[in-house]
This record gives sequence, C-alpha cells and structure tokens, in this order.
Amino acid sequence: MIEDTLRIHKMGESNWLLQWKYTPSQELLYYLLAVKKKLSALYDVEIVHTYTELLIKDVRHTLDVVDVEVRFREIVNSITTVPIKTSTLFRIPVCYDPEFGNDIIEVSNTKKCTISEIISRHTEPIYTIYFMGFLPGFPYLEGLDQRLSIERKSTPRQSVPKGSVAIGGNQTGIYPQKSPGGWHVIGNSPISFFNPTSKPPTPFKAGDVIQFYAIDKQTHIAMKAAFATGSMHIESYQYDR
Amino acid sequence: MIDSITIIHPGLYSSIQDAGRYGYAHLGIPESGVMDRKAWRIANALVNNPEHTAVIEFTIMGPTIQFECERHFVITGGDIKAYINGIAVTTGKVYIAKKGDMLKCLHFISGCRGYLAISGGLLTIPVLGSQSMYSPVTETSTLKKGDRIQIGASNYGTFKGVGIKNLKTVQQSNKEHIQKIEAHMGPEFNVLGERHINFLKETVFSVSKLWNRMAIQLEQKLFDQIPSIVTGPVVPGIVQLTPSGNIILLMRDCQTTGGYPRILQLSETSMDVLAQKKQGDQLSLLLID
Repeated sequence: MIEDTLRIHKMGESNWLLQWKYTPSQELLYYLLAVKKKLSALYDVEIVHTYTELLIKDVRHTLDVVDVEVRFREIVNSITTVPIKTSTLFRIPVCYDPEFGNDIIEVSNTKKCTISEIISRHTEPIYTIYFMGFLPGFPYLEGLDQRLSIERKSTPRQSVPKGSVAIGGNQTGIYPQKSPGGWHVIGNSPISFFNPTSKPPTPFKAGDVIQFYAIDKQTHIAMKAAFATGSMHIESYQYDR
Repeated sequence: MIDSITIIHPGLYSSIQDAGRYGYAHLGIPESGVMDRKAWRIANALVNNPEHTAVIEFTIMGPTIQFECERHFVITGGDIKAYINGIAVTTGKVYIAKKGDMLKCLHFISGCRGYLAISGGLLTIPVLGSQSMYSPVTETSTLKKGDRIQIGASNYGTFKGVGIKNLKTVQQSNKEHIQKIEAHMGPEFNVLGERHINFLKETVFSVSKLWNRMAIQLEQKLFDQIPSIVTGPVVPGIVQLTPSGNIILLMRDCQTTGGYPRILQLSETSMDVLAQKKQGDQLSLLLID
C-alpha cells in the first residue's frame, strides 16, 4: 500500500528525495522511521524525514542515476513489517497565565470558550512528535484537539519568547528559542529544550510523545531556576503504544 | 601568551565559517558554513591551510582586526578595500602581519562577501562538529568587538606554487560578472505551467532588500496563486515559491524544513556566484537537466 506510492527525485547534484503520496499519519511516520533506520544501517549518510518525505543528503555513488533509484526502491521494498514501537513520553509543564500566554484571551474570544477550557483541551491529548524542523529542536506535534484549531496570525510576531507554547492551524508547538512566529502563544514552559552542548542537544526524537500539564506562575519561576541549575530534569516515562 | 587576533571593529556582519554542520538537520539545525566556497578554498590554499580550515566571512563592510602574533594572511572573495597598517591590501595576495599590526577591511569595490584566511587557522571550539557561527548553536551569529580568537601554528611555506596559480583564478572570478544562475528542476517543478517556466527563463531578476545568509528573495514575482505543500525537507540551494508569488533562494543558514513548493535546486557553483550578490544586483536563471 504505502510502498506503491513512492516517488524518487534526484534533488540537485547529490541529494535524493523519497516522496510518498500518502496522507500524513502515524502509520506513515513509523514506516518512514523504519525506512530511515534501514538506510542508516546500510549507508553513512544524513537523512531528514518530514510528514511524507525522506531526504538523503550528499549521496556519493559511482552508479548510474537510474541504478541508484532502483537500489533505493529495493531497500524500501525490503521493509515488510514495521515493529510496534515503544517510545518515550515527556511531561511538559506549561504556565498558561496570560502574562506568558499573550494570545490566550484572544484565542478564547475567537474560539468562544473559556481559558480553563483551552487549558484542559490542550493538556488532555498525547501528542506525537513527527519530526524536528523550523528552529533547532522545534518539534512538529500531531494531536491537537480540533476545537483549538485556529488560523495563524495575519501578521507574525517579531519575537516570540523562548519556551512559548503556541497553536496555529491544526498544530501546536514549543519554541525552543526566541524567534519570529505566526502562531498564537497560549503559554510558556520553564524547560530549556535545546542545548547544543548536551548530547543529544534536544531530548526529543521523532516517534516520541509529549503531554502538557498546567502550572501556575510561582511554579514556573521556581521550575525555571531548578531546570537552569540542573536540580530538576525533564520528566519522561516509557510509553507503549 | 597565546597566538591570537582581536576584533577591534566587527564590521557589518562578520562571522567564523567553515564547511558547515552536517548530521544534525534532523534536529532542525541548519547547515551553515561559508557562502562562497570557491573563495574559501582558494583563501586556505593560498596560506597553506588544510582545505576545511575556518575563516572569517564578512559582508558589505569588513572588520578591523589586530594581530597579536606573526602570521601570513590573505583576503579572497569580493574585491575589497583593505589596509594593513595603512598599506593597501590586494585581494588574493598573501601578506605577512607582524605582532601588533592592524588590518582594516572597508567596503567592497565588487562583490559583497570577503574571506580572511590566516595561516594556522582560527582555533575556536567546534559546536556539533563545526566552527560555523549560528545562534543558538553558537552563542552569537556574528563576531563582536573585543572578541579574541586563538590562531593555530602556521604551515605557510611548506609547499610552494599554489599562490601564483590561484591568484589568477581569484582575479578572474572577480571580473567575470556571471549572471547566469544554473538551476536543476526541484521536486515541485511540476506546479509550474509553461507560462511560469518561460517567465523564469526570460526574466532578468534582481536581488530584493531581503537577502542574508538564510535566503535571497528576488524582486520580481510570479503572479499566480500557487498552493503550499505539506512541510518537507529543504537544503541550501532550494528555490521556493510562496503563495504570493515570491521567489526565495535558500542559502547556507536556511531552515531544514519548509512548506513552500520547491520549484528549483541551484547548482553548487551557482551558490558561490550568489554569495557575491547583494540588493539590486541582477541575475538570470538557466534551467538545466
């Protein structure tokens, strides 16, 4: 099924793009991760995946272009079963106080619901990390409650603070750094999600899941200090799907 | 006392760059690295540095640097007005700086990016496999006044002849005003109709005011509504088409994913040509494949 939708493009001089004409889904995510694992085991190349694509960077080969494509197809077709994954669940504290969640009041007006309804709808789901992109350590999360779906801001904010938790379209995300952004900021997490000197620099991996929980302003301040000094660490558990 | 240089004035946008950061795109970390790879390679060759040695890249207005050690140095890339202790420096020619000497880089006569290679190289600590500056991977994206950079032991003079041969190449590349930017078809090339393709082939484009190490946006637009795509991977050299018709050429500091159709992919050599293009400069596209 999925394998029949594969298209392969040579992108520029040495990059190869594998594209599946398939709806983004968890099924496809785990399939892509299996393909990525297989390719990584065979070749020392950098591979980036998104919702429906795998980019294989700097492929050096002596084969004819057509033969490279055939080889990639063979590898992809050799994947028959995708194991049911055990992954990691991260629990992420978020302060939804309007002081941090600059747009939460506006969102409650637009969506005609109370702030506490926004909080419960945002903290209930278990979100799946599909991939990282946009900013270093920025996770693309799937699982937003459709009742929170909201059009992106017509004019992006020049600067969204580090740790901001925001919603835009059908997505929610966390800004690991200060950045311009067009999503509606509804809260802030005291955790630092990207540290280039840590190994790995971000705790998140594609396929992992996260859940938010609400904290008040005082807890945010205390936790921020505790995370910064290293006396507190991000909470994580084994998660079986 | 360690061998070093001090940044007296950082110039407009000066940073340490090398081959770039590989193996971290899946975490959303850009490649970075020098914009003009040809100029970078020549610079290192001229001072007998290993090929991938880090250099200082500067844009529009160069830095003022004090040498705290004796080293050979060379500037390549765009043709820049520069002085060592008040004596004019020629682009592509190797000079020796003594301890205490002041190198003043000013504006460009042609091009817009310069590369300063110092024999022995810049010994900043690599972060995630590269010395290339990019915040938040490195603390800052640019050099700041007062920054002190340690310099490695010089290999200058260990092999000869490289200088003369490459100097010619440098001068030649600065004089050629190559306007043709080679581009391969991108994954979403097929969103373009014949009319669009002709527009891309026939238009003389100019660089808009939006140009930096992340991307160059062209002034001329494609007037048609092109739908966005599901976010997919991108690399430097990808040409994106936004729903409002803007054409964006992704450069070395570009993001790792994007949601605009990837209509073209620039050739590696075109990236070097583009590295020397600033606001108002003209170019045309040459579709290959």
